[in-house]
Amino acid sequence: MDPFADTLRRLREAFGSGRTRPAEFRAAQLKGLGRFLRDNKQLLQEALLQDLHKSAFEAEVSEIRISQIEIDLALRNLRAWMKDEKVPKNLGTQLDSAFIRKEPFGLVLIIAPWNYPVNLTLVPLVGALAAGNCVVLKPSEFSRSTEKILAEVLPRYLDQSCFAVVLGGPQETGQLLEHKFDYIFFTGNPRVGRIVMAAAAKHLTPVTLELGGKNPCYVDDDCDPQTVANRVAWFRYFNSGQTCVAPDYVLCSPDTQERLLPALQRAITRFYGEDPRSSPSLGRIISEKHFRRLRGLLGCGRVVIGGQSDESDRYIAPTVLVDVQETEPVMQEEIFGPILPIVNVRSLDEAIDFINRREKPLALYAFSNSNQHPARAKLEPLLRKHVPTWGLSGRLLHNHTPTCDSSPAAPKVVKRVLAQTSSGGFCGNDGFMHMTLTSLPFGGVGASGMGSYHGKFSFDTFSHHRACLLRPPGLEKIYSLRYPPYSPRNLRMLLLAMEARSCSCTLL
Amino acid sequence: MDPFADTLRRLREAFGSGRTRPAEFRAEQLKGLGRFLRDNKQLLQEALLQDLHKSVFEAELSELIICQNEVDLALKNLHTWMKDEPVAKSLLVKLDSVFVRKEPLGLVLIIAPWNYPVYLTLVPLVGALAAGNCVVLKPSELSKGTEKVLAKVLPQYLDQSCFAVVLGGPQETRQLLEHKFDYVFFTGNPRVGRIVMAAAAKHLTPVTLELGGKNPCYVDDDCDPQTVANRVAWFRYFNSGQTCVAPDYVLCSPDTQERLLPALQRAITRFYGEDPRSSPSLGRIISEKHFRRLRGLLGCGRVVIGGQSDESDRYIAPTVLVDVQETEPVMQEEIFGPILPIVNVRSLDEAIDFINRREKPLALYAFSNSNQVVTQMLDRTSSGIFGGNQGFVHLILPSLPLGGVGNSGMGRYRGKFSFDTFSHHRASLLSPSGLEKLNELYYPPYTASRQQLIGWALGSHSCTLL
Repeated sequence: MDPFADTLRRLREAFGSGRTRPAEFRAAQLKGLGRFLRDNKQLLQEALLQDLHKSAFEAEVSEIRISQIEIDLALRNLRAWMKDEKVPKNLGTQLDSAFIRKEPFGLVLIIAPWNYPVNLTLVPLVGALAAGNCVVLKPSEFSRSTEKILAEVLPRYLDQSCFAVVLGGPQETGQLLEHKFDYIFFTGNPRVGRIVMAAAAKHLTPVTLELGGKNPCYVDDDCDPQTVANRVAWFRYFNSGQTCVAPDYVLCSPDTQERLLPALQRAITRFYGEDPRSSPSLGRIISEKHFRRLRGLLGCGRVVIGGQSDESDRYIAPTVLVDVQETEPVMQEEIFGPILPIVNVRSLDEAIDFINRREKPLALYAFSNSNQHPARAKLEPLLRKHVPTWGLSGRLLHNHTPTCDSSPAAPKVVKRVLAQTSSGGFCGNDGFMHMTLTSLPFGGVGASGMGSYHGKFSFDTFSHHRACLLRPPGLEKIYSLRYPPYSPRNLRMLLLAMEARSCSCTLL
Repeated sequence: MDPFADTLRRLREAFGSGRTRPAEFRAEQLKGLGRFLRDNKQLLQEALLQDLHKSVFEAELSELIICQNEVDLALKNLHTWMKDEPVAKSLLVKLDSVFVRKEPLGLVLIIAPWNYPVYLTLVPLVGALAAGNCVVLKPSELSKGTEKVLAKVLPQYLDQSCFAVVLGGPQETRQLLEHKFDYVFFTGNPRVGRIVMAAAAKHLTPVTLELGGKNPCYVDDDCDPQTVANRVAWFRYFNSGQTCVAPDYVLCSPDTQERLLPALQRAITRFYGEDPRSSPSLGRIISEKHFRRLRGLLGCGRVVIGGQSDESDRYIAPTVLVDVQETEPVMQEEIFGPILPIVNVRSLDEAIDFINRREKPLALYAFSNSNQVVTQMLDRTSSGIFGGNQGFVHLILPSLPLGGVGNSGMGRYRGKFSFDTFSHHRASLLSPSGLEKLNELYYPPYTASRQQLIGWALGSHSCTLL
């Protein structure tokens, strides 16, 4: 028995009818989504509180408001995004119309996770709807209360011939994935990401995979420990650590660790009080399974801050671990909880090596005040001009690459970490902010994912960019150059017409 | 025995050393590629002649010049493409440096086909090198002459610590695909495309798949038959039909068919003479296996033009078939040969329905004097690329990206699109250290007033407020 066949057939027929193509229809869907958020704000906040003990502040800032901003952005820019994009022409195509047309793919599937169940369901949905697709939404079964609202309330705000919510666990999702979709957008862990991509491969379905990893957080010796501790603590314990871009572990020297620890304690106490368990600002773990997993990690290394847990409440205290070994579970899997291990390194080079030995993470953080040595500042431009620059570890540092990071705002240590590592996104001396910008593409690389979205990137993700060339009929004489029997003279003239240089308009 | 492990390890180490990152290195590789094309022009022309009986004209136009132009374009634009791209900022990040950094992915694999063995190997290679990757190239074993040149001569022009050519057939390719790459770029048929994507899924490797399909060519009643016949015949029989974007079949009314047939005959005779077999402008089929496949298709429908074949030469005459049924093999598989079936429809709507019932093709063509007809066809169908009254659109205009949709593929390339394909776009934000007071807005214990303030600031964008 295939529970999805009818729904999918219905949606495909709706797409085939062309209903989702006009801008008016898409705008109406987006407005519907906006009304859903406004009308049900309290309902959603209650659901998030129930699912994750999420405070109203976190719910507003990281879920509801973000989704609203994306809807408004899409509504404001819909027609601009939908427009055909002209491309530069050459001499041979002056009379033609050449452009890229954005088209919906058709029937798209969005599989969403439980940690930001509103944001990570609705923000991709905005892109899919704006791009003119029919959408199947599969919210996470773990965030039950939110799932209920998405299944029962959301559809009333959208055209249900073009939109459906399907429910279920891994088995149902597996069954769903046997069907052909025209795009699959998946947010979750790498293990399931592989399964999704393998299923998509059977139908040659393109995918975006927003996965995760262990996001390193390098803390330089030259920093203000309290500032760093505040930021790192906030990003780590936000949503009780259940954030794919949270710093997963800290890399720093033993000295810096000594200064960081009291600062982290101060930050935690300031944020969550003496008894974090009673703070309304701190979340809870989503499920018993994850709680037990995290409780197991508390046995790694040595607890220096926190370490308390309570199964009845799925509560884990904001925790810091030290003396952790690379081989311990806490350094092997993505933590996804309010536990922060600190790993010692003796230098920036060692930190960079450590990071590069591992899978490319979704996010990478570096905290430093440090600018380079004054004498080196004089030498470096000369060096860069004449000699490749070798780093301390004997690595060739790339040079002559035009970069934005030549602004005085960016400390040199931070720039080095950026230059010598790779990750989905990077933040120097800060945390989440880069994710709040709709103008930055949000996505992973390597094991942390493929594809990106937010803002226009979402629209582009869910669109096929179709290259089009429209020629007026006739004018056959001109085009006869290319026909056989082939001659060298004709070839020369054709090549001239194809040259890109001609599009500088000097010839016309 | 893993014949690839050492090569791949060597290339990965080279990438890890950072050697391919500087613009100078990349430019050197691209210049090397340009020299390879110039120094070995004749060698390559001979190889293409040997592999596909490709004339110098076709070799230049559709292979060598295209590659040279891509190299030149990449060299000219390298610094611009590599530049960090600043992005619009909100109030919350006004003081920060916010941009997208382009990074190489690492070790990339390019699997190329045999029909345009220079173009479809080297144009992706330009993008991969410009983006700063180390590259493994797997040229097609079917185009043996070209494979030899790519394997023996090309590496001499590139830094071989960062570039390797691997040879072999399906079995070796499968073995190669068991390894982890940071990107896989595949050009070929959908069946193998699925295998490639499934292999890539194991390592979460992103892919571009340039596949194929049956490219419909709608010919409206309102057209000049000779003009249409000239264009369709040229696109169809170019490279003896072995082109992923060639029109695969024609859709037209019986009336138009009547006017098209003599026009097609005239075009074929004009292009290839009374005896196409002796024309130096006409190619040959790549292999015996494909020849036999195509010869089988000659039995479908009814031959009205051409139909001759000769196994000793792997020659198939420019052929037109009529009275074909949708269920016949010639309408089931991608033809990839010099055979053009005509299928009758009674209206534009019927043509559009016919097209939409089938897999999305790589290319779609519509010929009509009426702009409205062309526009309707464009608006109501989907395909990788679209040509109105024109074929080979990407050949004619290099700034148009080439890529499929649905069964015809995913991803796209040419020019800057190639560079972007082989790059990771890394969202970067650099904040000056300090200024902690600003951050205090966010910290717990949370208050309602700060919640409102942040909510407002999140949605602010520079253009309206400053």
